[in-house]
Amino acid sequence: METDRIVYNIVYNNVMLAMDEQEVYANFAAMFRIAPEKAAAILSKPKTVLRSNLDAATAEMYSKKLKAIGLDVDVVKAGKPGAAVASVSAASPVEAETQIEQKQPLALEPYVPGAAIRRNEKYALSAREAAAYKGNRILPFEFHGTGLEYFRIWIVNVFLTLLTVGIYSAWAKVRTRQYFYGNTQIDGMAFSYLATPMQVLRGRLVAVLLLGFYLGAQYVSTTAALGAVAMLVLLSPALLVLAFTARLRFTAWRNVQFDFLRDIAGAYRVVLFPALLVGVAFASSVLTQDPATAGKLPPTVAGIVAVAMLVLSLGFPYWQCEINRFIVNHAAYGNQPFLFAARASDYYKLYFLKLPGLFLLLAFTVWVMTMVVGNHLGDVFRQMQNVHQQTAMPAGNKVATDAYLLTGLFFLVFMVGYAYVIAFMQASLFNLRYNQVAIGKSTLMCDVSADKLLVLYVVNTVAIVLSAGLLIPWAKIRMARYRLSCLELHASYELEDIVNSAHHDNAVGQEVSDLFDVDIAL
Amino acid sequence: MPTLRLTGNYFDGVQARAQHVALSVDPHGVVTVSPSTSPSPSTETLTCHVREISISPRLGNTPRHLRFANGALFETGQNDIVDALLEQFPAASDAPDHDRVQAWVHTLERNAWAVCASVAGLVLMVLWFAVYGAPLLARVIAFRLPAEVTTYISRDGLQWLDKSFLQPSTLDAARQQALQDVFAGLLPEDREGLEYRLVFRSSKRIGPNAFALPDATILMTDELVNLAENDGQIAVVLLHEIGHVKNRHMLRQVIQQSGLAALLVTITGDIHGASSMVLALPGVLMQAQYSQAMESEADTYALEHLQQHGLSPSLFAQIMRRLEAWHAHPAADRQPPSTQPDDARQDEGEQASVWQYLSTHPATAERIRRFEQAQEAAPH
Repeated sequence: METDRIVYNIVYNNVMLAMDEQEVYANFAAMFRIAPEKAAAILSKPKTVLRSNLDAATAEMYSKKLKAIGLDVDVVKAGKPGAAVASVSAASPVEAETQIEQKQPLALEPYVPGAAIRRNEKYALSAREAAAYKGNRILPFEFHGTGLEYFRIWIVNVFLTLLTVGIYSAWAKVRTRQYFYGNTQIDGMAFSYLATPMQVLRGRLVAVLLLGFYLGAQYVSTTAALGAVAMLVLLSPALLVLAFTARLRFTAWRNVQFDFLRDIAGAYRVVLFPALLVGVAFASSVLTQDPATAGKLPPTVAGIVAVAMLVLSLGFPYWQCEINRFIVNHAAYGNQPFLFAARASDYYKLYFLKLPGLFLLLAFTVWVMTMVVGNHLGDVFRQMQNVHQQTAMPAGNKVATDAYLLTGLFFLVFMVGYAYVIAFMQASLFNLRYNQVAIGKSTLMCDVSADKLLVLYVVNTVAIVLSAGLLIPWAKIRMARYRLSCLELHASYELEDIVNSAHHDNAVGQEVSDLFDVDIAL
Repeated sequence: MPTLRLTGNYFDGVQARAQHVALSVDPHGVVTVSPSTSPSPSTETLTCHVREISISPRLGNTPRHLRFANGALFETGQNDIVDALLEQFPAASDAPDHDRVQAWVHTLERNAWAVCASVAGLVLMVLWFAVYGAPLLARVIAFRLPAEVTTYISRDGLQWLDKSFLQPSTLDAARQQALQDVFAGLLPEDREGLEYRLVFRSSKRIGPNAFALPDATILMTDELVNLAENDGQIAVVLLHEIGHVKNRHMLRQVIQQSGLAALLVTITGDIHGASSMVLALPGVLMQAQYSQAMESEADTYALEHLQQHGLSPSLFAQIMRRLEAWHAHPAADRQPPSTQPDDARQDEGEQASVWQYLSTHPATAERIRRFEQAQEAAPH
C-alpha cells in the first residue's frame, strides 16, 4: 500500500475571483506566519507550487484551507514519491519560506475569514464575460412540490396557528419555507431554509413592536406621526440590509450558505435620498389629514412637497435600479458575490416607454370596444330610461339584461387589462433583477412571461374564490412552479469550488422585511 | 435488523462540491460513508455512530438532511429508508424541540382524518369567530379602553364626515338650543368620563339620520329634526343614540372588523389582490348582522330609559314609521333644487330602498313591533 501511493502537489493559480488581493495576501501571511511582503511576493507569481509530495488527504486539506482564504489552487498528481516534477523542483523555495507552519498542522475546520465577502468589482465578471465561458452547464431550476401535498401542510399549519392564537405561525412559516425551499432544486440538489422557529418568533415580535409604534404614533399627535415617519425613513436603509442579510444567510444550497455583505453605510448612500423623498410624501399626507394644518400649509412647504414629488417620479426608475444593484451586488453564494446586469436605462424604458405604451394600448382597446358596442349600449340605456319613465315593465327585463351584460363585459375587459399591467410589471421587474446576474463565471438566466403570469393570476383567483380559499395552496404551488421554471443557472465548473462562509444570525431583519413587504423571490 | 443503505450527495460544508456517496447503517448504528463511484483522492471513508448525526424530520417529499458533527451534510431523496432508520434509532432526547414538533406535525399531515378534521375545525373556528368571537373580543376591549384613547381614535371622525358628507346646519340658534336642552335632560347619571355632546349638520345625501361617534359626539341631521313631528320623537332618537354610546357600538364595530381582517390575513397568508378582496366579502356581510344586533341593544337602552323621562314608547314607533316612509319615497321630502335629472334621482332612491330592504328592513318592522308591545304593556 505505502509503496505505490500517488503523491500530489498544490499549485497556486491566482487569487480567486472577486476576492480582495490585499486581504488574501494578509490571510496567507497570517496562515503561514510570514511577513505580508513575502506573501505578496509569493502570490504575485501564478503557477507556483506551494506544497509538494503530499498524500491525498493532506493535499485535499491544504487545498480546502487555501481556497477558504481565497486562493485559486489545484491539486496536481505528481507521480511516485520523490519523482522529480517536470517544471518545478520538488523542494520549491516557497516551501522553504513557508516551512514554519509545518510545526502546527492545519486542522480540518473550515476557516472563516474575518469579513465574509468584500466587493471588488475589478474581479467580478459581467454576464457577457461569464457567458463566454464555454462548457458552462445549463441547469434549470426545478420545482417538485404538489398541490395536494402542500394542501395537507397548509391546512394543518393554519389550523394550529388559529388554535394557538397565532403563536404557531412562526413554526408554520418555517415549515412552509422548508417545503418550498426543499422542493426547489438545481441539478438534483435542493435548497434549504435554516432559520429556527424561535428565531422567526423573536423577529416577528420586533417587527410587530416597530409596526405598532409606527401606527400608534399616528393616534398620539401630528408631531408624533411626523416623528414616526422620520424614524422609518432614517431606519429604512439599515432595515433593508438587515432583512436581506437574514433572508440570504438562512438560505443554503449544497451545504453552502448564501450571504449578504452588511454594508450599512453603502445602503445609506443608495437608499436614504429616495427614502427621504418618499418620507416627504408621507409627511405631507400626515399634515393634510390633521385638521389644524390642513389647507393652511405655507407655500414654501407646498413647494417643497411638489418639487420632491417631481424629483421622485423622474428619478424613480434610476433609484429602483440602483437599489436593486445594491441588493444583488451585496449578495453572495458562499464567498462568490453576485453581479447585477441591468442598467438604469432599462428601468427608464420600462417606466417611461413600455408602461405608457401599455396604457395607450388598453385605452385603444376600450375605445374600439366603445365604437363597436357603444352605440348599442347607448340605445340600451336610452331604452332603459324610456322604460323607467313609462314604467312599462315587460320590455324592461330584456333591456336590463343587455345593459348588465355589456357593463359586465366592460368591467371584465378593465379587470383583465388591470391584471395584465400588474403581471407585466412584475414579470419585467423580476427579469430585470435576476436575468444575467453573474455569480463568478456562472450566470443566472431569467425569463418570466407576462402572458403566462396573467393566465396564472386569473386562473388562481377564480379557483381561490370558487373554493372559498381552500385552493390557496394549489395556487401557491402553481405560482412557484411557474416562476422557477423561468430560471436557469449556467453553471461553470468553478461553482464547485465556492467556499462556505458560515454564519449564525437571528431572524430579526427578515421578519421586518416580511411585514414591510420587501420581496426577494429566489 | 438489516443494514440500511442510502445513496445521495455528500457536502463537506467547506465547498459547494457534491460527492455522490453511499451511506450505510449497520444494526449497531455504525454509519459508513463511502464514495459510490470510483474512488477519488478527495473522499475518505467516513465512520461514525448514528447518534452523532442529526436527521431532519420528514416534510412532504422534500429531500432529507443527515448532518454530521463536523458540519458536513448528506442529502438524499430516499425518504422511506430514512424513516426506517429513524424507527430503528429514534431521535436522541437532545434533538432540538422544533424537530420533534415537526415530526409530530408530519404525522398529522399524513393522516387523512387529521387533515379532514383540520378543514372542519378551520371552518368551525372561522364561523365561531365571526358570529361570537369577534363581538365578544370587541366588547371586552371596547369597555376597557379609557375615554382619552377613545377620544384620540375618533378625533378625525367628525372632520372627515364634515368634509365628505355634511354641510353646516341651517337650523336657527333658538331651535338648536331647545334641542340641546332636551338632550341635556336625557344624559345618563354615570358619564364614564365621556363628554357627551350633540351637533347638528345638514346632509341631503344622508337624509334624516343620527349617529353616535365613539367619543360620545351625537350627530343629528336637520332632515331628521324636520321629519319629526314633535320634540318627543327627537328625544327617543337621542336616547337610542345615547344607547349606542353607552354600549360603545362604533368602537366595537371597528374592533370586530379589524379582528375579522386579521383572521383572514392569517388564513390567506400573502395572497394579494383580487382574491383577498373577494375573501373579505364575508366580513362585509357580517357587518349588517353586527349592526342589527347593535341597533337592538340601543333600542333596549332607549326602552329602559323612556319612562323615567316621561316619554312614551309609541313615540319611537312613530318616528321609525316616518323614517321608513321617507326611505321608501325619499323624493317626496327632498327639497329642490337638485342638479340631478329627475329620473336618475328616482333610480337612486329605488336602489337605496332595495339596499335598506336587504340590510335592515325585516328588522325595522320587528323593532317597531317591540316598542308597540311595550306601549301596550305600559300603564296608561
